[in-house]
Amino acid sequence: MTGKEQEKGKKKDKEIQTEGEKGKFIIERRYVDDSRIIEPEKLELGGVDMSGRWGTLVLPRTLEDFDTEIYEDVKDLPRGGNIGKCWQCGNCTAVCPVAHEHPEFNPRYLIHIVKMGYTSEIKRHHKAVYLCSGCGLCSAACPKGVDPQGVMIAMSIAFKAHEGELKEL
Amino acid sequence: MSVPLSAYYQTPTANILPHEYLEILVLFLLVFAVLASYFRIRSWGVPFTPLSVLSTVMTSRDREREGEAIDDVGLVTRAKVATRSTIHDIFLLRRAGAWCEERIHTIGRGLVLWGFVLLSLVTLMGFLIDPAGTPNSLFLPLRLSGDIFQGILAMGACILLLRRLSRQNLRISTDINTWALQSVLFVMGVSGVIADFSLLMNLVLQFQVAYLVNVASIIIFFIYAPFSELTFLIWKGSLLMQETLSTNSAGGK
Repeated sequence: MTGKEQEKGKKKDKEIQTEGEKGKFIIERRYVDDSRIIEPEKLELGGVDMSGRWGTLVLPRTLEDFDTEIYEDVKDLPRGGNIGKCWQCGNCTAVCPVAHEHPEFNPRYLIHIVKMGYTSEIKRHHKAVYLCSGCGLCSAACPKGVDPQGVMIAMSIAFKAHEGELKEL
Repeated sequence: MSVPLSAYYQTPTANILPHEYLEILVLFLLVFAVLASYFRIRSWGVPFTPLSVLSTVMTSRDREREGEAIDDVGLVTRAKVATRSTIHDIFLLRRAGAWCEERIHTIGRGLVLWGFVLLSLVTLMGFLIDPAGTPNSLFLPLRLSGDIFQGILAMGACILLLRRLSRQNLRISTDINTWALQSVLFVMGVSGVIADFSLLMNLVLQFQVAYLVNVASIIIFFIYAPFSELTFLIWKGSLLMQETLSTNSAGGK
């Protein structure tokens, strides 16, 4: 490891300890509320130091508002019929050039919350669907033939049709 | 090579499809396309956003900022915001271009967009100057610039088609509607250019064939467009512009 890399590593370790950056290394961190993340300042288990990020624990969340009406609408709209085939591999998000620029646009997660009918999550994230640039790379990468590009089209329309209900938050 | 410019003034298809009839047909198809798009968008259960943008620009109402009433946002401010948004978001492809992974994809989209818009403008100008299409001083420059824009359109559509054709995954996953729309645009551009160049070179038969293909592709385009992805793009583009208007014009930004 070069000196420069070591310095970089030290800097990163310091960053981890910085307050207010709880759960920094959790994948898709933006979807986890701060209150659900536990990072013990001091924890030792069986002689192993589990302090800080090593002891990170994400508490389960309780969702009480399920409504699959949008999901049913998406299925009926043009190019949205294959949404049910999604098995959440995340290839679409991985190849999406927009998701790299704007992490709030996550096709995999959008499909997930619509399929599950997580109303509160849809309310929080529905505007991101309009960021899709329609390049079609996600559809090319999808192993299940979901056609995420088409599903984003259907979702845009369905979210607009349910705008009144989604504005409540 | 001496170019028989006079050829432009004598269309060999005049007996088959008179100029005036073609204009009436295109006008009829345009009305059909707008109406069909309207009803298709409404069938999705959403508002027809191009109209919403117009009404947002035209109407003005009091807005409040931080609890304090501010002056009404005028038509000029809204028009400025709409123009700025149109230039940046649509013509400079800020959204669709900046996030395209491949430069060639952005170029293809740009060429199709600019080619189509400029071709429509030139065609409209020609119609307004002289609906009968009789020769005048502006006839030739308009027609030649129309050829250039048809070429640009064809080139853009060709890039978009080749991009999908050259990559196996993309080729397999491409929706049939995308192929159809891009192919129609390509045929429309290419046949238009071939028709005019055949005329310049006095190749009457080639001209007639290319001209009829061109007319057929225009008819197919107008009939097919409302049922294609293009309707969604127009709807979404207008929706985003409306969002821009409602957020940026508050406070006269």
